[in-house]
Amino acid sequence: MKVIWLKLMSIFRLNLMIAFLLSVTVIALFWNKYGMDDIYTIQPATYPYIVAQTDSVDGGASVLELTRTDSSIVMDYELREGYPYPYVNMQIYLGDGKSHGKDLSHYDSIYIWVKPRGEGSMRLYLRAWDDSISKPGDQTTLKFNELEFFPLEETYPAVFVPIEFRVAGWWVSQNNVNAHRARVDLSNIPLIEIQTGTAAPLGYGTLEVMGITFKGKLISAEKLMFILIALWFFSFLFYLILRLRDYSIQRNTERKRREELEHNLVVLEVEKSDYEKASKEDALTGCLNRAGFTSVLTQEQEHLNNGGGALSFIMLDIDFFKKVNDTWGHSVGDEVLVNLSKLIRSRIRTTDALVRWGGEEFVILCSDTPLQNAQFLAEKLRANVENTQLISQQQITCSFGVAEMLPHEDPKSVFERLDKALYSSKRGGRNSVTAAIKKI
Amino acid sequence: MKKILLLLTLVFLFGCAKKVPEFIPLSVNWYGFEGDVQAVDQSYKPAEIDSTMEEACLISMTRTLMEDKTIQEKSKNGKEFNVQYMGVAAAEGSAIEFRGQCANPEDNTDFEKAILFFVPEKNCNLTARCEKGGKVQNLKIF
Repeated sequence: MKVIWLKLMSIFRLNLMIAFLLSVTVIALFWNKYGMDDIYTIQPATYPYIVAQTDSVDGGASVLELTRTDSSIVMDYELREGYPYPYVNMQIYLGDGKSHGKDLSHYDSIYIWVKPRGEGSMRLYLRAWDDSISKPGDQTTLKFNELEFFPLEETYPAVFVPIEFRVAGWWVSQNNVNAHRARVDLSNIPLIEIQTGTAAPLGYGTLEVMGITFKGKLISAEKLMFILIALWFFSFLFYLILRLRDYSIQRNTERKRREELEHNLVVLEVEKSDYEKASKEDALTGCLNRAGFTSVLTQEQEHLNNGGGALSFIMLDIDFFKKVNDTWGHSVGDEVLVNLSKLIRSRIRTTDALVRWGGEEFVILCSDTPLQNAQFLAEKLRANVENTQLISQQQITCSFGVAEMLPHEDPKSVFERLDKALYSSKRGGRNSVTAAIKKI
Repeated sequence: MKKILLLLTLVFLFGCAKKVPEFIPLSVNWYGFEGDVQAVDQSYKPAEIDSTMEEACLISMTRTLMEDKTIQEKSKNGKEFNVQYMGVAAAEGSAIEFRGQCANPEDNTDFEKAILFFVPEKNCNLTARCEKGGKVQNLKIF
């Protein structure tokens, strides 16, 4: 079952992968559009790190009192003359409140619920830590990302987007910040300040702050697109690597299979060759047997019938072979056969064929050889056998019959002639050569 | 009339019949004479014969014997031949002199050493000579 599943996987891998990627893409886009919200809310009623501050730190005389209710914090203040720009504010600390604040850069909207009981504008400061400007212990060096607005009487919140913020110009000039650094940066906000604005009139005022909410997406649309493109890219890259690996494995497998087949083919060829050889050879002497002779004869006959050279045969029979077997045993008889065949093979041409015709009879097929030459060869062989000690026990001789095949002649009649010629040699006293000559 | 037709039919049939060649066994025993050639004939002078010439001459002599009607006739009657040959000096280098006769099955003479004396039987003796070029000439049967 597992194997089938794996096979199916390998077949439909690309389709499955595309389906998976499409599904992920669609889900991710929908989720990003209708969900994936990242909301950070500060409830002043319960948030512990809130501090009241007035312009008294700058030499002013304004006063402020913070009062927590169940759902908000109320700033009751009186702006008094003293500092040129009298103000009061509420400081909300994030993170450690110094150099490690909260990253608010990925929020795309800010909701602030405030309820004024007086005239004038108010400011919202998102104070940022900048490593190159800010100094530990000196709050004034935190960058002033500023937004000034007139709070509304209605209950719904005032909504802002980050690009509405700007860095306060007075702070830039006060800290001698270059233009490159004087950009809004919300990546590390340790402090949020809600402060009375520049147009706030002197005297009593109240500001009720119900909450601040930062809304954004866990992953921004741009980042999501980048992630999806990367996902598609790496998925196809991975698929490509898998395909290459598969191809490599497949190629190796096929190569091994091919090598195996080639090896088997060679083995089979050798076996075939061995079988063919065995089927055409006499096991004892290594000469051709009758089956082997037939294929040679067919070729030679064709050659003769097509106007090729003369084709002659020599048939020889070991004289008194039965007596050799009876006297010395069959192993000695076999020795005679083996040694005789070796002797003959050493005396004939490679184009000639030596055949064990049966028992102690041999036939030599002499291609391109007329009768007189075959008879001469037979005479030489007869003399060689007579003068060679084939076995130590006794001298061996052979009788020979020679005949030439006529074009288109039936091989049977040639062998009848050969038999007669051989018989004639036997009858004439053995150890002689008789040729079957054509009567004129 | 019927006899004539029968005769004509027979003549026609025999005329159309394929002639089957007849074959005769020819058996020749070869003896390279190793004795004194002058003992055979005083006019002979011994000469060395190389194997190439010997082979060519023996093959040529075999062919000559095979194609000779008299030899064929004797062979047909079951005669074998003993042929003795020897190298002799000739006008142009050396030659092989052949001397043969019908074989006597009961005679075991080794003609490599013994001189072959012609038998009195008619057409049972032969002489021939093979000179340079391996061609047999002057086959005489007597």
